Amino acid sequence: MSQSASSNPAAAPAEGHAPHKSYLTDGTTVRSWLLSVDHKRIAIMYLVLILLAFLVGGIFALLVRIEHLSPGPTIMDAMTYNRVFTLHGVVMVFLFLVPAVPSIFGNFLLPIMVGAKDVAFPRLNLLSLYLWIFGAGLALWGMINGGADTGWTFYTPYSTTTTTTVAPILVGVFILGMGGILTGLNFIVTVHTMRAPGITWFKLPLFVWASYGTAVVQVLATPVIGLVVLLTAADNTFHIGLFDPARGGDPVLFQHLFWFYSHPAVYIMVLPAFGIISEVVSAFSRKNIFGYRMIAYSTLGIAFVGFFVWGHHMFVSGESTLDAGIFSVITMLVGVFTAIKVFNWVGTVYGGAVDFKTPFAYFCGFLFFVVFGGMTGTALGVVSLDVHWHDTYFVVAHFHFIMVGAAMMAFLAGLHYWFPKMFGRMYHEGWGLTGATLITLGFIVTFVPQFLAGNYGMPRRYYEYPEQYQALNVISTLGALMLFTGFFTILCYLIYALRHGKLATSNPWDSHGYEWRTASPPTTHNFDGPQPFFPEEPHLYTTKPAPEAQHAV
Amino acid sequence: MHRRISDIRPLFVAALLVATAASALPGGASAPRELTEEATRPPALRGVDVEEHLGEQVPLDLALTDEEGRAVTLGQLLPGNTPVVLTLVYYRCPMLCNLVLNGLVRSMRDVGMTLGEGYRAVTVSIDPLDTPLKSQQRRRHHLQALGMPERAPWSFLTGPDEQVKRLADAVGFRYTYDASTQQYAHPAVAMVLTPEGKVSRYLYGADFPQRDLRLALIEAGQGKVGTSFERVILSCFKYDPATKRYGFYIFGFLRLGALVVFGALATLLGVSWWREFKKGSVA
Repeated sequence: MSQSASSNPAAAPAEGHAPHKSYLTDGTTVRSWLLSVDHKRIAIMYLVLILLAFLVGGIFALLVRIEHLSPGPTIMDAMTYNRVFTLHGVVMVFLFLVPAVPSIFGNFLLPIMVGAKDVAFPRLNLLSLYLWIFGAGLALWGMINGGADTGWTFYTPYSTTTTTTVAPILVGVFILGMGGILTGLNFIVTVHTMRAPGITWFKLPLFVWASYGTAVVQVLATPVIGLVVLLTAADNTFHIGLFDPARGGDPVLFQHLFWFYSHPAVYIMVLPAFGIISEVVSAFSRKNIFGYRMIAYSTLGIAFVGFFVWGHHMFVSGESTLDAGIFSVITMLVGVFTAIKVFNWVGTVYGGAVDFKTPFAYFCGFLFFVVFGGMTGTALGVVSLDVHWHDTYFVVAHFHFIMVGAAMMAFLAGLHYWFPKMFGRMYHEGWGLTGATLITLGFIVTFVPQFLAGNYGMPRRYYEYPEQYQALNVISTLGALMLFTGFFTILCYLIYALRHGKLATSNPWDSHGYEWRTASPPTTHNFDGPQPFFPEEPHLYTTKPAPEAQHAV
Repeated sequence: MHRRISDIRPLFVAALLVATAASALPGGASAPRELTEEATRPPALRGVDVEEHLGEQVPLDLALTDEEGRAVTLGQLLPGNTPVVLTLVYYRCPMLCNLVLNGLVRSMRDVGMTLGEGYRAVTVSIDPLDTPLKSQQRRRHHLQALGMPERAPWSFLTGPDEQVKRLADAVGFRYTYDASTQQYAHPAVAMVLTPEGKVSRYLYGADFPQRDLRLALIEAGQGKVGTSFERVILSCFKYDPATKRYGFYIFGFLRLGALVVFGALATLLGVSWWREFKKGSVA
């Protein structure tokens, strides 16, 4: 950290300090970034890296869609196709979706939202960034040197016998998981121990609740995937025979272990997204959040129930009827908790003075996608329907509605909502709405045809398909191109705004969220002077705000 | 539990040793066993087998003779607090018995438990012509090889045919006498008994990995021998009836890992929430 001491003490304020610099300009060397323990700088580094990963995953997705323009071979051979869709899945899940919201927005905002000057363990935070870089590097290296053709689920026994290089990718996933666990631990301890005076649990911003719930899931579930990928890598390399039935192993055990992590992982992706939406919907409806406690409790409810639904991925893996029925019913409970949130968000908008800015546009898209994705998910949770839809494009469309439709829209909503907070500049609102429109429409055009194709019986992961599905696939690919245009638009105007955007005031949305009570961009220590005191509840809009908060001394 | 396994022919001990090494991993070599089905064996080896009588009580009232020539019952030799390694051999045996006992001695040297403290050993001759004098010689020989004093509790017993047969039937040890060679044909096995004299584990072959012996003793000791940490280890290694070995037991490993992770997180959250409630900040 560089010094903020002024060269002219006489000009300094009474405390003997120069005006505090923003975290962006406090130290400009490469070293001051790479070795920074400031949670905001770490978040910005995550932002850049994770967006790069998203770009890679997006290009792979586009390649898959282009390949499906014609029923037969289009631009690549079958093996390349297998590798490409595997890499798309691995990159998007492990490098983008799982870390995106916690590592970027969680890191940046959680300490500010609880009135702290950093997370509880800043060095551990930096370590988790480097674990991400190392894990991602290893996984990408494996993908470039041979790639994997197993799909992102790495199902055994194929993944233990394939000749492609799955082992480095699996070890990469393991290392990424360690970074995730450290981030989760950091958040849990930060929320418990670093809250400013006056912030009780039910005065926490809902994004903090969501991050806390996510952190618990992450710490509990990630060791399982860590273990299972290590065992699979060992099985693949040394042929131990843990999951390979030819050597006395049990492939179904792999599925249990894999989904025991990977289903809660869906909630690692969407719970923080729900948190962003709770913030955005309240800020742009100019209204108190409706049912604050219900939203907080339903977060914990999803986090808890999410651990007991993994079996719904295995209805066709020889599960007993009783087990399948139990998993099916518990799966419905996730729908109940999600519906509680949806109704509360709608209740928040109802009667509000909606300020239809870009983040709100993403909220609208989000609401549609999460309901649509959630309803199809509940349908897939019914055993008899799942047997029909299993491993078809219906499933692909469903989880893209949740993972892209919900998580990605919320990510973009958060990115636009907090862009002035992070960089102190405004993007162009008109372009923002254009981007949101392109993304929302592009998404619908991409994935609705996939629901139809899947329902008509088009299997997922296949290189070729019967001609009858071509029209739907062409529409889907056009939608993907539209999505790509949308992302490219966003990239352009955001990068432009970084340098040339209008300077933002400290609270451009006039939001009442705790994070807006400091400068935008914040100073290195987030709050100048003593630790702040927030007397109001968060998301408080409709009653007249209390007079200017007094600093507790 | 009655599980038939085939015999290992004395002449193929060398082959067995190779197979032992190959089957050290779970799921290893179980195929060769299928080839030696009862019907395909030479007549001399029919009826040579181990029928696993896990959990069966050995008769404690068996009247046998110890190496000093004293009449003892088997019950007197079971002290009730340590597991017992039982072997059935005969003293003029040209090959296999020595291999079994020498293998056992090697393993006992490395097992990390002292004979007499962690466990005891009993060897019974299946040949009614064997005498206490021969018992004595054998005992000296093996205790010397083990580096233990004369008073170490490893009994070598002889006894009349019908008494030994009762014991062999109780543990499922099936052997025959081949009149043409005047030799006994018998399986190569060591049995681990619980302190009360119930059959707990069979260890096959002439080469007992010390890990297998140690885990078998700890398992048979029912918490009375070994460290608590080893009982934790035992949950990661499970006797695999297909390979007749203690193999890495993935469920046990997972269960332990899950307990550790869950315990650690529960402690963290428990302490954190307890503090929050004490502060009164949950409102």
